[in-house]
Amino acid sequence: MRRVLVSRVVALVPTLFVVSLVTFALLHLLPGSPASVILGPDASNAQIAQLNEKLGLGHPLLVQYFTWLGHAIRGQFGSSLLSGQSVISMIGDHLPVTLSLALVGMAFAVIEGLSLGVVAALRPNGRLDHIIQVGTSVGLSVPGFWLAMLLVIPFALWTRLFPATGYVPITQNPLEWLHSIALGAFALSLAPAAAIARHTRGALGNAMAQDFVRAARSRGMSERRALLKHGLKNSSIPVVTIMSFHFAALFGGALVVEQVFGLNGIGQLMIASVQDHDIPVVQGLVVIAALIVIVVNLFADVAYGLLDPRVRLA
Amino acid sequence: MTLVATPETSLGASAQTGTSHHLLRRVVAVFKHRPFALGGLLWMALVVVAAVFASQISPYDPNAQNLLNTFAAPSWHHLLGTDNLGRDTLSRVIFAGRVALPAAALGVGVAVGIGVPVGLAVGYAGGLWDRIAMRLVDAILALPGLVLAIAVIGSLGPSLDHAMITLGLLASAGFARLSRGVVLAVREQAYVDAARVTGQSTPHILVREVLPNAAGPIVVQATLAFAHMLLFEAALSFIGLGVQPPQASWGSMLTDARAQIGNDAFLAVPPGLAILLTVLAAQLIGDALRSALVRGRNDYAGSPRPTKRTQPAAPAVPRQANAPTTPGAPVLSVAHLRVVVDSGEHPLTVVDDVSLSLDRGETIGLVGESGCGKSMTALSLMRLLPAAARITEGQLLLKGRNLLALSEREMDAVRGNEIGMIFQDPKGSLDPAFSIGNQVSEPLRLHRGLSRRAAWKEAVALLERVRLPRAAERAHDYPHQLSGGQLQRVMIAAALACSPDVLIADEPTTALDVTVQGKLLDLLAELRGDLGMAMVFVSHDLGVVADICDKVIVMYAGQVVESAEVHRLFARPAHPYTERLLKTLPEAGTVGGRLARIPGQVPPPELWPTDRCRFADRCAHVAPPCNAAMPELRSSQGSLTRCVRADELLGTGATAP
Repeated sequence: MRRVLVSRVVALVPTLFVVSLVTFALLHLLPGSPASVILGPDASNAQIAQLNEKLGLGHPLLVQYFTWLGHAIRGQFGSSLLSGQSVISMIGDHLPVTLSLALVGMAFAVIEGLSLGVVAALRPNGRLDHIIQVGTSVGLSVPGFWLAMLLVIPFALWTRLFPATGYVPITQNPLEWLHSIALGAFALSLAPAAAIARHTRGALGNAMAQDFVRAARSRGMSERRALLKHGLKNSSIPVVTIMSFHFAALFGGALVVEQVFGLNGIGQLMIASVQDHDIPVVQGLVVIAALIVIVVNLFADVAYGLLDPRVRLA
Repeated sequence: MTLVATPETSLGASAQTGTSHHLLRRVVAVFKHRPFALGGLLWMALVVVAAVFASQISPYDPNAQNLLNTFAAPSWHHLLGTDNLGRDTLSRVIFAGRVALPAAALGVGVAVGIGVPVGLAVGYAGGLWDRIAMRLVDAILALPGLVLAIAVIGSLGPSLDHAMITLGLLASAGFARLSRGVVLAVREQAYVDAARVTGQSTPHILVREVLPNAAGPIVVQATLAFAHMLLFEAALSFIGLGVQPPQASWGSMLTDARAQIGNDAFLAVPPGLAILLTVLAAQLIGDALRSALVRGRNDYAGSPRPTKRTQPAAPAVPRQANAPTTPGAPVLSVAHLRVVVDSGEHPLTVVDDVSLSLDRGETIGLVGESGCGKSMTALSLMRLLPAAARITEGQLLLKGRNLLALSEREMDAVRGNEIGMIFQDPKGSLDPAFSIGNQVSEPLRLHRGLSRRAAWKEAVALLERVRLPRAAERAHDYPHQLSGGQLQRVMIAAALACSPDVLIADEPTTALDVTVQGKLLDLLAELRGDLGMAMVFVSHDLGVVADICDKVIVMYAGQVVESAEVHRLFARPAHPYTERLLKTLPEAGTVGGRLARIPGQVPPPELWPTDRCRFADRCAHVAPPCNAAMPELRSSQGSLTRCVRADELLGTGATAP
């Protein structure tokens, strides 16, 4: 297990390298002089010089990269060009909303995906199996933010079962917190749920053809029970991988779904910073978003190891 | 919204060959059989045509405002109604296709254009380049694509093209991995080597030999990537970072609809449906193409017809009253069993009229080469045949009870309780995800209703009984931590947990070392004595059978060809096939001597004759009567044999071993 963990952490190095390179490049992608683009056409020469100094644009590119990297590793992403607030504290303010949406969405997706996959596998080629098969295609195709809008209309506007907007921090009231993000999280969950359902259905079909299922049945286990015990455990281990694979997309989707509910999360911050050319904030957001995805994937790898005795005991 | 297809897709690449004409036919065939995929194709065609001829077919200028007719409901004048500025929704939806389709195509184009050459190159180069590239590919695939696309817009200014190029660059990693996989698969094949030997240049080989093989998987992934790109475009336009107003895009129309959601909820429907249907169309087309072009996949989406797993309960045999259990009656009796496998057009009979009778405490050996129907017979006794096989005729009486008349649920109560089974491959027969103690506990909890704790205690006792060292400790171990011999002991413990009357042992020692084999046979013999159970012992090894069985049934090509008490069978085999099997045994004292082999092999079931002796083609004693009619199983000097010449051959001593 320890070996697995070490190898996973080592495997993160190239990812972090790519992230740092991309993020650093963002500033240098700016057409023309970055400072003049950022400050707009009316900026004075003195202002431009000051910003160049602040962004460290006077030094050779390699020096700039390592300076930026050195700061980034220590969690210093500078401060907003607009408000002067530190980037880290700005992200800290906006992150909980988005992270809540993404994590709860993933939790929903696992529950929905596993149940649908099992239901479909219980009667292969049955009517439910076919309905779920078509349903997963639709689930993979529906834009989360549109689904969120469609959910808002009956559940928030007509019946007021759920709030159409607003976020309650989990520290304030966990139930209200879940209530406030449930619609958005559900809208986000559909695509990964469809992927998990498809995977589970296929994996259960394969698992049920394994010798160990036949052996369990020879001991008197019913087909249904064998599916729920031996089939499900063996199919759910790889679900962890599918989950981590979809988390990056889910996080991106959360930025958009936020807008439907007018929530002040990472998406709001990012759109505003992009429109204002607030490059340090954008850079910080990219690094943090990538880090979150990486950490979630790392957890998934560890969970995989804990679930599979062959890895756990290796 | 995923940036790349799921892992299955990228790993699903398999090298294949085939002419383009042949491939096209396969594609057409798949679409013919999938109404949904065909519908997807038609919708996609409709959207493309509508976008191309938008100016000609849309009823209004998409940006023409009419403030006197805002929020109009769908009518003959405005089929999909109008928005908050009185613009015709249908016209805007049609024109929006001009944004979505090229944007998605741009993203896919960048992804394919960069990913495929890179993948081909590193796959071909191999070594360090390959390792570095694959590490980077993994890294890129782990990045949140939408966040990066938004960030690039932040640097380069709001432009859908910039965003789609960024997303295409990220998605190219998936295509690189896919085409690299194909190169690695194709490299193994001889014709690439042949091309290299004939002096073709590397790029030439890649383009001429590898690309055709990669084309199928790439087309499939490109179709799915197109679906994802459509979703990205919609999301970017929705948050105002794609096309700028007043230009219509499905995403930006939803932004307007979001603002007006309290006034007119219907505004959200047409553009959303347009996205959903177009993405769905691309997904369905991709799924269909995959099953036509990419072989070696068996996931949900890929297989149009997953195999049916459930077994038909009882065959079309009339329910019979259970015979009364009389002392001295056989514990298990099988009469005229016939098993049929559905394969292609013709059902094949793989077990043909097999009968046997097993007394309490008795062991019957079931022998024959692979493919003779031994295992099928054994599985029939448990009613655990694979999906395609079914019992069509015969009777199965366990202690006088007709097993074929039982419901699946009643049969569950019999298996592992009154009749147990152990299998050839102990490693595959234990679930790697559960401890062995858990699996040995299973029958105790199912049949005896023991609690988890009580069953565990009992399981440890059973493991001790099969002489697993340090049983209490090892019960917590997982199958991968035990050796093959130990695992078979575990299987025996689980099968005997509820002291069944009959144990079916299907080649229980075949997969094990010779030294381990002997110990396991001793163990089985000992437990059989202790528990007074009867046993059906399936083996291809007559030597093993001689050690443990009382009676032997020899099977050939689905039929019983000889049935005799074990000493008689070894002393005077009454069927030439038995005689040949005995000759394959190493004789004591002939160490180093070559074993005789039976020439030829068991023909596949579709070639089994029905009007003459099935062994005639391989028999040394074949004579005209052998090919005249199918021999009946008949009695000859104390054995049952299916040989017309048995008396004659036994008389002359021709079959003496």
